[in-house]
Amino acid sequence: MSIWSVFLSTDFFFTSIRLMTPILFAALACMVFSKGGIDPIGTEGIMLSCALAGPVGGYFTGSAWGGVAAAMTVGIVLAFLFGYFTLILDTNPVLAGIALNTLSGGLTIFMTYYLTGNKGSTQSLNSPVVANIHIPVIESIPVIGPIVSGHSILTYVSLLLTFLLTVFFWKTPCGLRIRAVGENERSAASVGINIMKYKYISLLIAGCLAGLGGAYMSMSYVSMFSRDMIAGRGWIGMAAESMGFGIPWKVACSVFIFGMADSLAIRLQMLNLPTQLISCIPYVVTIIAISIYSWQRSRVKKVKK
Amino acid sequence: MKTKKPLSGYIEMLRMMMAIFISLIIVFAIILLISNEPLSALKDFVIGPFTSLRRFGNVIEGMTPLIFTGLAVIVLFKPGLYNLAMEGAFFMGMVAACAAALTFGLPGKLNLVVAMLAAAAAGAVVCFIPGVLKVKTTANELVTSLMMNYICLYFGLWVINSFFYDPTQNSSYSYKFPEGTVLDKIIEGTRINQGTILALIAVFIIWLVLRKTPFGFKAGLVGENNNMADYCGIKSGNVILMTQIVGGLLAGFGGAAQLFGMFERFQYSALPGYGWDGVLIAIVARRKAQYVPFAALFLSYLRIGADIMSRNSDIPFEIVNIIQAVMVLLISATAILSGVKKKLIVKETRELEALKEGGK
Amino acid sequence: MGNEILRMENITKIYPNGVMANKDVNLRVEEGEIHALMGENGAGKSTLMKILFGDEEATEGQIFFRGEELKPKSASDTIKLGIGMVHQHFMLVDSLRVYENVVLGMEPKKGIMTDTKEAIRMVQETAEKYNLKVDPMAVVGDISVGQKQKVEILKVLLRGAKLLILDEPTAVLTPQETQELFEQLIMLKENGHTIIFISHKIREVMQICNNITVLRAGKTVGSMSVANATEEEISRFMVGRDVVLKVNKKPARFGEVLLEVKGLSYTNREGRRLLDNVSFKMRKGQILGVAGVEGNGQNELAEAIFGFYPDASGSIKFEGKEILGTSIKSIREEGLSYVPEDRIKTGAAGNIPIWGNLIADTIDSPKLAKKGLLDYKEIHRKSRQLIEDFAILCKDDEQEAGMLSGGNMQKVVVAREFSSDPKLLIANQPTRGIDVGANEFIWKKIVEQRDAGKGVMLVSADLNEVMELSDSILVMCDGHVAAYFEDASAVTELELGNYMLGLKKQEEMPI
Repeated sequence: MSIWSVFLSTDFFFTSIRLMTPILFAALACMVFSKGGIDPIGTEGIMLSCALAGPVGGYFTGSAWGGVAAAMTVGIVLAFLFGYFTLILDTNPVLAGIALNTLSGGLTIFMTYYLTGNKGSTQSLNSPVVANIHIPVIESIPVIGPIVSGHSILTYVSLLLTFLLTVFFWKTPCGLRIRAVGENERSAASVGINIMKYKYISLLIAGCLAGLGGAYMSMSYVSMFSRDMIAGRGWIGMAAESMGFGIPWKVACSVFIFGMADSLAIRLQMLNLPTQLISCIPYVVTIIAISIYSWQRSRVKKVKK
Repeated sequence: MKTKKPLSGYIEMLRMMMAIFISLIIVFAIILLISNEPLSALKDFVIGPFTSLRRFGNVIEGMTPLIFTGLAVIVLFKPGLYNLAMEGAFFMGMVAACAAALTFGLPGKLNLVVAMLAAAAAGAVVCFIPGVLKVKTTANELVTSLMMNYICLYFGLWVINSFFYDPTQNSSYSYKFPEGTVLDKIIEGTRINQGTILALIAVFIIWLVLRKTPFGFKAGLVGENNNMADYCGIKSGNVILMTQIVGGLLAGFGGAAQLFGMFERFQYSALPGYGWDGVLIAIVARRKAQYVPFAALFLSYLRIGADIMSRNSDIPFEIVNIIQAVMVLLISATAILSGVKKKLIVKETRELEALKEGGK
Repeated sequence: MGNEILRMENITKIYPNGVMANKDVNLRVEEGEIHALMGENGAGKSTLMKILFGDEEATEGQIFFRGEELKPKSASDTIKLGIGMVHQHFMLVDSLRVYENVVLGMEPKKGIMTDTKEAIRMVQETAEKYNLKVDPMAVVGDISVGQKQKVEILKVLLRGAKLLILDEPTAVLTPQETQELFEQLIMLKENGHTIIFISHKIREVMQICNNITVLRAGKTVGSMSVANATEEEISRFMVGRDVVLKVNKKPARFGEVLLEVKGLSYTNREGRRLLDNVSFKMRKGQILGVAGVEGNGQNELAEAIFGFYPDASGSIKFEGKEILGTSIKSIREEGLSYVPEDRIKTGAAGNIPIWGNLIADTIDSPKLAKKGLLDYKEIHRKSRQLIEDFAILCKDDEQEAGMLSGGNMQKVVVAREFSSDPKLLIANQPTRGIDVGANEFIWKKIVEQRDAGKGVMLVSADLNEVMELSDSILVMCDGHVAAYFEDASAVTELELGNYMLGLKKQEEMPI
């Protein structure tokens, strides 16, 4: 296989989309947190707990959607926990984010062990997975068909949500108020907007999104929960969100870059390049991307001067 | 004039006691609810670490990495940055220590010293990167440092697997370190080793640096009010970079101390998590180097207790993470007890007024 | 007399810390007039308006709106009654579009969606009615300050305000924008709206207002009709001073030139020219007072000299040596020191002990260290000495600076800046918001400094302070030097006021 065949294959793009899904959910969750003026630092930890809640919920309800619902519920609960500590009890968001991460890391292993007797994964639960769908007509178009069709329902949901959130934030009164609250609390309060109400709405939506991201990892990407399976996707989502300036389609585009980096890592492994070195790629890409982005932004400010 | 502790110190102490108490209550409740033999599990957890010299030795050994990462976090966070690369720095410290020990093969203890210095240097590089990116490009140090951690993990594993892999062993185990490249045991019947002494020396040095040098003072001032630091003629960018380097040195050196104190070969396949523990240590020690050993002792005791409990019962070790998380959340929840603080401030102001009256 | 719309009677406000911001203030506004509320900074205008909007509760006094007693609880209560405020610092969300900002909180709906068309129509309709030309689709962060102000006015009008309060609306506007605003205000008046116009620019007030109420030091000093008043009269009302404090000082003995500023200009990030070709000289043994209405470049001048804006243009020579473009550290080493305007943001660190705040500028000095380690004996000796010399009231030098009262915290800042024995001390609002005792003490120290043959540049919004202390006075207006008086005792406050308020400008300056 040559280097070019790595990129110029439908498989590469198919995998990119598959791999961008959890990051897209994470980035959208971060976006909603940030829009409501809440630090998105808890996302990684929330997603990890949700990744466990999915298969467990699926196992007990016997349905994949039961699992997804469980993951979203856990996402909401943890988002509110984070909100309670940072907004009401005045906890430093970074410390609260670290705590949430530690809590999820421990609690998920604890629960996995409690439920399956095994600390590594929930494989023995044989939990249901979210189905992949093949889109008729489009499926048979050459090149595009194999890239676009055949993904998990949740992948399509993530893309749909990118669109719906655009509508929500830019075309509805509620979304408008959330943006106002998040950007300038005093202005929002001066026209009689109840600030906490809209913060809670953001927590609710962001919790759901993080829940979907977690559920995708353990119910679609693979069919079980395994420890630490989010592997920084929540943090990468945070980076993608700021690089996309908080605008959904731009966020999705930056997420796609990370998806490609991930996909590239997988493809390069087939070329017999060292696996571990290649696993660094998405993280290196993130550091470089966020540094360039920040550098440009700080320079623009200086030029204006 | 008599020196009196600042008021906010008491409130922090009180909040911390409360946090420890609440988190332990939560954990005891979990144990009581879940375990089939809750009482014996609890007994193992609470008393277990004291039941034998070896076990108590485990507590002391366990302090070493925690002291190093706790100190690292204190220094890294000092100028107001949230650089979390200490986790990766600790891991790269271990990798670099292993690589240096197996590559150079210097005679006797010299090899150990060189390997440990290499570890410190590797740690410094890891923590320096997010710091320099923050200062030069304003990139969020939180995101870059977290990415660094993953890069350290995979890069480190690649180094070990490609160059130092021992084919006679399990996956990702390195060759044995040369004879003498080890931190010697100092108490018979335990694994307590010179690493603990090095850790205590580090505590002293960091206490000295933070409390007794102009550099420590400047780092603190940058963290508290960088406008004021700049206006006082302090170059805050340089101060930030120096602290990140020192923090990295500590974490990397701690990695080496852990490796040479506890193992004969490199045998990690995941990040050990000591960096994250360092955050809790720093918070419990109220960001003061001199309290770090006590915080480390406390956490190490909890961990050994949980370890003993998990071996003898159905409660997994990870319950410790729950305690840690709850403690971090509650100790840093500054709104708790802020009412009490306000009352105390009013009282103090009144006393001061009285002092003023008396003076006239 | 016309129909009364608002009457505030005997309003007294005493803050919990004992500061009396308003004392027996009376304000009476007639329906359909533009009423000017004038006064210097700290005269109590904003407290009065906060009381009207329910942000603060009056200690005593009553408010009547259209004859009925009003007891406002929050801003939204007052909005419902038809009273709207255009804040000096705009209450706008930068990333939202103009129409979104205007309808925020009262969005027209179509199902669950915002009825964007209707929203834009509402905005356009009101905008056309009052001739407030704005592009409803523009993003607020991208439009000019003048445009933003129109958006704020639209916001208030769309919420049905009949009484509009504009807080120093012209402070941020260009002359052209100001004229445009005035036309719109007159139009609003003709449409039956009442306007309270807060300002300290006499010409503007004379141009559009019907009646004036002047506040000074928290009290109403007078109400009059514009038709019967002259500029001089109003000016006397505003800048007249009540001498609270006096200072005894010997005649000044000027030495050689210490500081020479030439053609200093500075434009900030937003593109506003804050310093415009400023030139002056000052000498050893001189207290140079810099007077001006706040926001006219005095603060920037002080900061620029102390190295906050190394990219400013022009030249700043200290003892003949160029210091513009060097670092704060080297400027300090040259022998300058600086008491900053904001002691909490810049001057001190609240969570650090007093000793730390007292030595922060000299931490690298070899006097405070032995073999690279801080010599705490010496540090405490020095800080305790300073605490004694400056009579800082505290438990001991380990106490956190944030626990001190404003006056004592300011003394800490002043003590630090004096402790390096500077050749030139720049004191920016050195006595703002502190008690009389601390105030008197700091004045004494400043005079001592000058008598020791050092220079002091005193920037202050408190005219009394400038006139009491200064040997010479520089008046700033709109970023440039409006006047310079070599001999401060030869100038009256009325004259100063005329230069500060932009009524007069010296063409030839004797510098």
